Amino acid sequence: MKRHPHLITLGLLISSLGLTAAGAYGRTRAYARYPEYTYTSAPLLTLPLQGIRDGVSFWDPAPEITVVETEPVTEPEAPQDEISEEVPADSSEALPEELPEDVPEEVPDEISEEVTETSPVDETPDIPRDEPAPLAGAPHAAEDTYYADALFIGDSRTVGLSQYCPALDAQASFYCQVSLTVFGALTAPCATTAEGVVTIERALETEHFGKVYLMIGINEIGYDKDGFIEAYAQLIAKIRALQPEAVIYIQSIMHVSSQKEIEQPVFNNAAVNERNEALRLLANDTDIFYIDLNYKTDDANGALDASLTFDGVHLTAGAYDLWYQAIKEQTR
Amino acid sequence: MSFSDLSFIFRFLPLFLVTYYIAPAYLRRFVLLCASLLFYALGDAHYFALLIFLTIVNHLLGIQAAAHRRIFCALAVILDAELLIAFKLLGTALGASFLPVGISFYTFKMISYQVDLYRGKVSPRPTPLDTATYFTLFAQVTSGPIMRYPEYAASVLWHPSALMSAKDRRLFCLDRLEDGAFYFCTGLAFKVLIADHLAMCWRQIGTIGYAHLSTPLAWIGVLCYALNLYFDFWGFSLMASGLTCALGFSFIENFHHPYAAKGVADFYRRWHMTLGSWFRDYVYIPLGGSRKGAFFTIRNLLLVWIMTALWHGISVTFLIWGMVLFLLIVLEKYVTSRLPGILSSCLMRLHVWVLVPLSWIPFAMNSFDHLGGYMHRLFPFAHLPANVYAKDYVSVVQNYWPFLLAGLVFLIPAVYDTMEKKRRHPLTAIVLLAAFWCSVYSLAGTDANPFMYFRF
Repeated sequence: MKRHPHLITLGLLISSLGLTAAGAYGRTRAYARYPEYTYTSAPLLTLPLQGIRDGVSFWDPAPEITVVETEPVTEPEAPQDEISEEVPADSSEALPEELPEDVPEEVPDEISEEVTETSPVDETPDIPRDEPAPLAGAPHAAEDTYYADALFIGDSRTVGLSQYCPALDAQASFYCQVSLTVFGALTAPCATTAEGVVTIERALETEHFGKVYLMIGINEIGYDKDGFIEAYAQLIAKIRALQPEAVIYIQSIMHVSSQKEIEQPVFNNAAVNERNEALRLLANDTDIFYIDLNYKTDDANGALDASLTFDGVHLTAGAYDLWYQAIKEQTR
Repeated sequence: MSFSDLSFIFRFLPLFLVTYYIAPAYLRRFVLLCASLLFYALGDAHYFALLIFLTIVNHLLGIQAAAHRRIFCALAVILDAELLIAFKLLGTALGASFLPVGISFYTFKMISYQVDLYRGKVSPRPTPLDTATYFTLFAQVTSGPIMRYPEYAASVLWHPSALMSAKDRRLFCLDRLEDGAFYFCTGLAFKVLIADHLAMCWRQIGTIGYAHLSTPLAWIGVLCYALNLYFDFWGFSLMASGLTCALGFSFIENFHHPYAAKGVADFYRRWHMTLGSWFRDYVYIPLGGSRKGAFFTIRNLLLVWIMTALWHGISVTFLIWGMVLFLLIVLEKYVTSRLPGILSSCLMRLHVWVLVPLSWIPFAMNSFDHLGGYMHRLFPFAHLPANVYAKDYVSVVQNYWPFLLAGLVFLIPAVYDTMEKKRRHPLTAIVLLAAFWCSVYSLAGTDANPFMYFRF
């Protein structure tokens, strides 16, 4: 009987050893950019695989650690693009290092000043300027066409809102995408305009909106909080520059269910609350407002009500109306 | 630790295999036992003592069972079955963390071990080392297949023939390793590249809410879940059998193209075969099988399917699943099979292709409300809820069609059979190595980025 070579075994052996050697070689060079890697966390050969994912070869030199200066968000030309390029949304390891550590405390004021300069409310009397009513106030049912000039930007949660809230979808525009993050929001090619499907940034240059609602943050929950808030502030500044007449609504990051917190502790409501508090400070209550949604969808423990969700993160189709109601109740 | 854990694939397994093969034949069982205990302890240290306790008790009672003392055999079977039921109940009431890893599988091994000893099918009587190694075998301890003791005892590597030359022994070992690598890599690719992606698709469907699916998406969901379950379990079984092959055991087939079956009964002779044959040999036939007339046959089938359903989990939805299959099998046995040839054949195929995938829906649901909601969307005659997005299936199909298609292609028996037959062909090796590294790449991405499998 003819003996065949043991190609699979041989191939596995050689390729595994080869990748391990590449990982060992690049450990102090190209793969120094993965400081979170330890020998106990994973086999060495995961480094070259991660490198392939990030376009890094094991023979590349060690990355230079550069500190990105905090860009003043008051500048209309705030380099959102640079942030997007330097901090790809899918590069978890890059974010904490490259984003600025601290957001200046004066950021909200700066945004406010900048906004006041570029889009004074008085100069746009034809655009209705709505201020959110206090949550304790009487609910006010908005008109059916009230959201005709509204734009909703967000991740998969907003995708769900567009699909399962027909009352809103019939009026408003939605620029949303699954796994959209604050870092890549403007460059996400998910805006349908007369030009076709373009990036959100391009669409904001050509389209005009009276209200812009943002729901971003759950995808970034594992990332550095200050970097997230900084990027959020810059996103607002960019939207303000492109849509000077629009009122911007920062929607609170919706909570996750208690079960989700247990299953994946990175998704925890303490972190969500911390970020929401920081987002609240980005509002100026003049033309940038913060809207709390969680009061509508929380259970008694301050987590997303389990009866409203399947996966602990998204509302099920029948529950999106609660979100709409929360927006309506805070609109007058 | 699981088979798709990179530390298992690239650390535990190579280290173990090298130790196993360089060890003298008489020490290999000991090496295997140590590795198995370590594997279980790393996975579920909490219930490690339970496994050890049951192993010791079953060995001691097995000595008496081997001497044909019925009472000891019964005692062992009752102990194993009661502990299984007790932990199933605990798991149902208090959560999955109260269910020891692999208890459904290793207690079934223990029961078959006792009965085989009592029936005189095991000779010579197992040593404590053999008993412990058989029960704890790392390749099977978490999710099967449920190997019988005689299959375990037949491992050639532990009893190398004096007639074999050293060169022949070396080639034999390499052949076993090569076959093991083929099955393991194929199983890993099925699990990671097909099943795990279909699991994401199924999760996306669940996220919408079962009661709010469009009817096309509800049916895509049926296909998706059926394929996900099949490739997940078939993939796992191939990995486990690949490992047992590499250890010198015979390949244990757990799936044999179930969707090519000629009826539901035939389907379950091809699906999770080691569980089906276990129920056949230790429940159905001892109860009389089909030899005592229609009434007793139906009663025996009913008992087997109630037990099968509860083995999967103690819940109403599992019971519904089991009862649906019981009814289908009885219907096929006494009605459909007696229809004219072509009609009977078409109906039986329809059962396999439509009713079996539908039967997985109660299997997938953890509540009666969810099941009811899903069924309303599958058959939207009476109930039309609001908030149904008619085009919800478009993004699902766009995102997951390659995985659905790959699943459908591998349902064709000739595809896998040709691969298996030509497993020593260089082209097969290249394809399989590529699939292996794609799987590892995908797993490494998941490890590095926990968000990859769950991006919002």
